[in-house]
Amino acid sequence: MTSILKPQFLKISAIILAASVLFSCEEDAPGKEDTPELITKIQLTFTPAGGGNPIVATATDPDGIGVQDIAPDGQINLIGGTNYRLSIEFFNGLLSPTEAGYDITEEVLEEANEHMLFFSWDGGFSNPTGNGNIDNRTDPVRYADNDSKGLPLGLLTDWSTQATATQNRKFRIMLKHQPDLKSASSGSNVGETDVDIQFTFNVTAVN
Amino acid sequence: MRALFTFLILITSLFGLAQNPICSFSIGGKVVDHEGQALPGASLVIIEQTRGIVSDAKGEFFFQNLCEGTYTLEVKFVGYRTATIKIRIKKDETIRIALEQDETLLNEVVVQEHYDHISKSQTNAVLSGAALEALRGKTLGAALKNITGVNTIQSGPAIFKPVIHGVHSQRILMLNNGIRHEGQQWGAEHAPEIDPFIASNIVVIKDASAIKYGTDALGGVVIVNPAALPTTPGIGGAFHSVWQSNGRSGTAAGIVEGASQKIKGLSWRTHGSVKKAGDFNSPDYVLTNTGFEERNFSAALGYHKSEEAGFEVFYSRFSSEIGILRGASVSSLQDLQNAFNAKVPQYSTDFSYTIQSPRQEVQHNLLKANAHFHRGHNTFSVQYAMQLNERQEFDLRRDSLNSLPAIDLTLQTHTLDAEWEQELKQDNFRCIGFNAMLQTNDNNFGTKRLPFIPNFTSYTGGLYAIQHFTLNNWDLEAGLRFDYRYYTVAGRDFSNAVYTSSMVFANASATMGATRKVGTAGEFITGLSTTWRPPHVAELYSVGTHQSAAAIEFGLLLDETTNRVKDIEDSDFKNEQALKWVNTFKLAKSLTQMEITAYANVIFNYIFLKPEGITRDVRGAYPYFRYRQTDASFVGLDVMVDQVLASHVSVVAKASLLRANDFRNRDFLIYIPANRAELLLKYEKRFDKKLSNAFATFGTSYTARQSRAPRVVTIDQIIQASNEGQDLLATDKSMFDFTAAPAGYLLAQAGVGLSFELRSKKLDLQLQCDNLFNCAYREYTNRMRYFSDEIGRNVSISLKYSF
Repeated sequence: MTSILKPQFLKISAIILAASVLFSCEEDAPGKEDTPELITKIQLTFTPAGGGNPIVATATDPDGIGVQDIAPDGQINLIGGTNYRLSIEFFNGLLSPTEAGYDITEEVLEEANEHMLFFSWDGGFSNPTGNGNIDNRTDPVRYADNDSKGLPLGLLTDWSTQATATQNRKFRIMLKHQPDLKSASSGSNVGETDVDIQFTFNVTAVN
Repeated sequence: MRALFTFLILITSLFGLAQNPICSFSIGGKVVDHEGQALPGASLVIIEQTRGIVSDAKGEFFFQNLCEGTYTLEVKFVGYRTATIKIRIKKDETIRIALEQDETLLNEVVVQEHYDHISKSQTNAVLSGAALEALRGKTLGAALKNITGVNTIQSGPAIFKPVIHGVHSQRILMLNNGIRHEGQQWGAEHAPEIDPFIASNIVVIKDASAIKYGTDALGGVVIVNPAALPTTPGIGGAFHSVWQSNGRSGTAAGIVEGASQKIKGLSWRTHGSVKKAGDFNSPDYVLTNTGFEERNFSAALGYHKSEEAGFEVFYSRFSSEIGILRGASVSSLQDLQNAFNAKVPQYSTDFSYTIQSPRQEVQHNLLKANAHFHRGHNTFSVQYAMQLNERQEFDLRRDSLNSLPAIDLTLQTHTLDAEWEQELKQDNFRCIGFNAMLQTNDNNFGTKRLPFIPNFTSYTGGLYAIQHFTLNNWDLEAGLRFDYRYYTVAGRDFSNAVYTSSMVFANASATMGATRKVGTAGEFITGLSTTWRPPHVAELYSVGTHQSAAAIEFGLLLDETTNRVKDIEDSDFKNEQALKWVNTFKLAKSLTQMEITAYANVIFNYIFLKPEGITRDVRGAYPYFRYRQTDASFVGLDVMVDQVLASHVSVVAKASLLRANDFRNRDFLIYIPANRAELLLKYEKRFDKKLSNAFATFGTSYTARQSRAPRVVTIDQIIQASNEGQDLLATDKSMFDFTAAPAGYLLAQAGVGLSFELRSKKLDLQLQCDNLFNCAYREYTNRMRYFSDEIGRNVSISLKYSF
């Protein structure tokens, strides 16, 4: 029934709309919030222990909570037989680097007692051995930083690449938020996930 | 008014009298004045049972299911002397009661509260009297579950959203004390902010024909009515206390009311209630962080001047803090998988009253003023109300953010309703009215999150006309309504950029209803209605996740690739439009009460959250849902039979069946209540003197597995496919669920009750045990079913003292 009347409704609506616009004010938008939980960019910096150029890799999410996927911006190319110190940083790439709230690494550091990074890989490293501690907390990972209780954090870790070349290895990083749950045995299935991202890396043979 | 009274009689016979069904005698008759003219609307109370009804349009009344014995019947009518009649019942009795005019009172007497017509041609169900008393201490949603055809969508043990005939949230209109309740209804975990203690009856209108209340009533209307203010000078009231073992909860509530001796027509009421519950427990573990706290208060003041006019002001405040199961807080699919695999929910610990994140803090204030005037056969009524709804939702966040709400909204609503009603011959009436509403929604700054819904202001206007008439043996009713809504919206998109928009929605609703008597005890009601609703802003503009759900929601107007907000003109949005047909047959015999309702509701352009794909963000893979439109149908049957089996023993059987379909996509809908059946045996005995009434009940209810549930796509499948670069949800966009619908379950309950009467004071004691055998089960319509079992055995003790 309403469909028959519709054109008339639209006319009436248009008139009322015109009237409404005249006396209604523009709606104020919500204030601009900082969004310290919104991480859209992860940066890995592998610095060779003996000096040399650091190797930087990033993964970027173009639209945060939008539909587009986060993806690594290319592969990580490490040099074989090298000791690296890996430093991990988190950013909100939807903000410009000068805006407050751009760098989120600091926040994780401040709450080190309830955060921990976990790692997994499928080859390419001579030390640590194995496949990482995402599947099993006790598997070796060389943490180079601690929280105030002496438990590992993982923003800094140490890695030694194997001497032989290998291609298309997977390297997964998981940051867990474990309020009141972080312990010497809490694994990657405890708490809430803040970051879970997988890179691909290659190791080139020692020259 | 008369329609309401007829209706009250019907419901009293269905529910009120169902309380004493062991006895099968009745008193019927007619109330007349000194000239023998019928007095419709006279109140009749059987003092011994505190059972009251009101005489119908012809002055007639009917009490059923009375035991053998002597009763005191008190009959009151404005302007007439109250009559007190002793009746000895040995068989069915018919009496004629003539009231004498009270000369001294005539010029300054108090008028009964002005009631809205509740149409005769509607299919209603009511919770009132003892049936409602037995549910004190429960939330409104949980109490409504006792009505056949009404179910709930739950988020743990404390959050219940009513579902009428498979339809919920924005498609159900709630009227609190005559005012359209306006909260943040869009969220599946947002329960109505109404304290059921305030209600003397709760009416559910199951057809969409509640045309005078506005748009949105596609599924039905829930009406929470406080009792009319007292008319007899003096002070009365009741104190109520409920204790429950599960959750170790305590509830205290009190109502005090009175009418002034000095100023005739001046009356007042105040009510308050406090509830506190700790963690509930399932049979095998504690449901950590499911406690809640509620503090409610209301006050009413009324002045009624003879038959001509009445004025009232009313204020109520609802305030609650509700915890959400700690183990249900997940921030990625992987977390959700971990939660599914956990035998005991993560973080489950010892019992505590502490409420932590995730939690909600909600306050709802209602201020209302209304007036009505009578002139001859005309009644003019007008009411204004202001509602202030504040909602804060705290998610589990990093330490420094944990004290900040993730959602912080203030919703302010002003409503103005006016109505002219004219009484016609043969108990018919017509009414014409309008409703106006101004609503503003504001995101309060300081959440450190992108706003989930935008700020908005809406202007709504509606006009309606209803005509009631008699044709042969049919009572007929027809109504027409036109509504208009204008929105201005301003929000922030995924990138924190501002967008603004304005929109107009307008459409008409129409209804036709017919009622006729079938034989001496039967009645047939049929109603056909078409109604619509404008979209909620949340359905158009939502962006993000909310309250610990591992899913992202996008509004209808968000672009599929850029995520930017589109103009509604550039979208294919159409208003939701429902066509509902409801048929009810009622039978009210002395030994048998029966009500059967068959319905079909077709909702075109039905808005729902549809799975559209998987997106990967920094936390991992997430399923995302978009608000989409489809055509849905809801077809079902509600049956209720109350049969006296033997002296003192009766049985009540209820069943509700529902089939829902997305018939445009040939798919199932999610969270559709499964078929249910219930059987309750009751033994009741009345004693003389102090122990005036005792009863014992035993009941069992069976909820079937929802066999018409969407396909299952497990998280493992999604993650595995996603790691291989496939998007399982994008390739097949049909509805899905992470797990299969839980198995059907059978529960048992038992209760005993005693009532003592001392002079005019009364003490009611009830002991009730739900989930008697402590079964572990999961309910399909509980959103926490992924994480935990339902609550285990619960013993509650209820005490009520009335004076």
